[in-house]
Amino acid sequence: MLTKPIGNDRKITWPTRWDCVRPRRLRSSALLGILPMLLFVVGCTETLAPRIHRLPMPAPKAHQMAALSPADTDLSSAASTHAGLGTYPFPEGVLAGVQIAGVIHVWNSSQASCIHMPGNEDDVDYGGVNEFCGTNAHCVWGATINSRGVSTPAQACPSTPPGPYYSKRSAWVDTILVGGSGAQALAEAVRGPSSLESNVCGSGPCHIVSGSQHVTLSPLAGDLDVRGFYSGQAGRTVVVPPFTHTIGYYSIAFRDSATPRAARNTAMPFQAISWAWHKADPAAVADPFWHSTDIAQCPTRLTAPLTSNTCNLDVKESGVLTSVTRVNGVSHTDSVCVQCSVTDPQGAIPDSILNLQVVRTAMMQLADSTNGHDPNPNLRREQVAVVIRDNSTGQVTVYTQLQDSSKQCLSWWRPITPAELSNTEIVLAYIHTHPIVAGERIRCDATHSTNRNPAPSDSDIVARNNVNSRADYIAAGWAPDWYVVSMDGVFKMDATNSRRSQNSVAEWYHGLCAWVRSDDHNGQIIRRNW
Amino acid sequence: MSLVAKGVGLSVLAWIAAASLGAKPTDTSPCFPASDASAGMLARYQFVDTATDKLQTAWRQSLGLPVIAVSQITLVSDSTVCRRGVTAFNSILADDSLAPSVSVNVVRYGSTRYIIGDPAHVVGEWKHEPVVDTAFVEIATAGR
Repeated sequence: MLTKPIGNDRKITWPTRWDCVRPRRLRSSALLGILPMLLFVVGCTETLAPRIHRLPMPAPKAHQMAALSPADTDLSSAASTHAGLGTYPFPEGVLAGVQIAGVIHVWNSSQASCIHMPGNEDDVDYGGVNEFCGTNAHCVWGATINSRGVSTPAQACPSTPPGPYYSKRSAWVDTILVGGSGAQALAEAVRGPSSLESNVCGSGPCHIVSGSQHVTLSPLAGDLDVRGFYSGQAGRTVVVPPFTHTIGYYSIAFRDSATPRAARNTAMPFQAISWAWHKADPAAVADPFWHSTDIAQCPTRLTAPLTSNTCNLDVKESGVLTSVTRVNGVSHTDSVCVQCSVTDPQGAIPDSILNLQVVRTAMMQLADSTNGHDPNPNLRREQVAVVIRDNSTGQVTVYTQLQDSSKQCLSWWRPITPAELSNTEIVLAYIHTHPIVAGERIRCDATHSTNRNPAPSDSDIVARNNVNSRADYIAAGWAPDWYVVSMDGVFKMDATNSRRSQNSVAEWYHGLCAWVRSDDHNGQIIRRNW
Repeated sequence: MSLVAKGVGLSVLAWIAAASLGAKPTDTSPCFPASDASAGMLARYQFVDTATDKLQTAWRQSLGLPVIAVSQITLVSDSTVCRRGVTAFNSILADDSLAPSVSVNVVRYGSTRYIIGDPAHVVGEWKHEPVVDTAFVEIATAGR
């Protein structure tokens, strides 16, 4: 890539309106859109910069909480009434917040003797009334929620002699487990039995009960959280050493967990439904001795009352582990990607930039954008990106489409300067593409066709030297790494610009270590919108 | 054009100018004298001869360059060879529509191949360097 001044033949759609005000410091958030017109907008408001939007990426799983629909019913005061709340046919159950609100009214004949109320009438809450006929205590007109073979609240009537034998609380609330197999799946509100006392006292009824209570059942929201655990890592991206014939697999623990783990000391119910393993390169040839990853190692047994379900999988190629698991009655899908680490070819240490999932994803995205497989070479375009880290937050951001314009054999772009970023931000790396396959014979416009080296060109070495040796870069302590992405590999230019830069450090489309497209939520990719 | 762009752009151009103009002989010898550019070119093809990386291997093979003893890859100083190289270079790369070269660097790659280059001959970001046989017929042209 040759860094060139912008000529008059450039075709850029300029904003149609310029409301320049006082100069202001440009932030990286605004930087992306204004790079091609840096000189012109330093006195303009950020709002005039072309819009920036983020490419659609998988939403953070932490925000995919989901719950079954709540249910409610009015429970009549009529004895032994059943009012359905729903069916939850899940053996592990569903954790739900429940409430029985309101009171019913109980009137007693003056000739009745079993119910003890001042003035012979009063309001009664969900607990019902503890009646005494002789020495027999009997709880009547209470309200409960029945499911899973259990009635709650378990001890409805509030008291025994000498009383009081009822209460008038406005509501009962709790978190309970409902649902199950067979008949236990049903959740319903149930009114307790009536008084044992005779139905007739003199010329009228012994008791008249009226009103109703409102019963609600609200399943709790939950989410599936799958993590991979390997060598001190615990996350949605696990990086392992490359697979070799000598070391053909790495044992990675994938753990299903519910979020939240529990509520009111009850584990959030979950049930693993299926595990799946997707190779990054489905055509990757397995090692003849080790073969491919066998997902049958992952169990889907009933886990309740455990709070997690672990699959210890011998992973034999890069890929994505996907779990479908029911969490509190809702089916969720979550995944963990396994990537091979890349070692710096110059240092035999892990490449701290290439091993960032956000950088890999951005590189694959750049490879897409560069259109490098198009049979018409003039429809291919070099792409340029920059990796910026905010040292105050650790956030790594990849800005793509940094170029002002480009062809398939060069691009025009400007390096980002320390003055354009905040003092906590630093340029970690520049990335640009060569839209070619190694050894491909191709022409640039009408020029002679060549078999182009996919690795950094001599011009790249010049550009790198010119940028990295800038006085402001040196003063800021910036020494960005430079990467070249061809259609079948990525090259890291070494610090001395030696021919070792021609070594490829990853062959990312194919093989046992093919790269995985995924975002680990630790960084973001922002594309300039023309 | 911003100052930043101007600085970088001019420095790149200046480098190219230095590599070409500074290396041009005054007697228009068909062989460039030894320079960083010729050393870099030689090193590049010595490297691709020894590299085992898959992508580099693919590039080398696409150029019709076999694996040989690296000691057999040398810079040519024979003006007769270079003169033929200049002719072949200008003929093969006529489509590039650049000014004809009067001097070239020639790398002898074993007994069957020559690679001809002029550091000033750059298309886009790529130097075009024909690989020819001993009759100076194009086998392929490297872009590097």
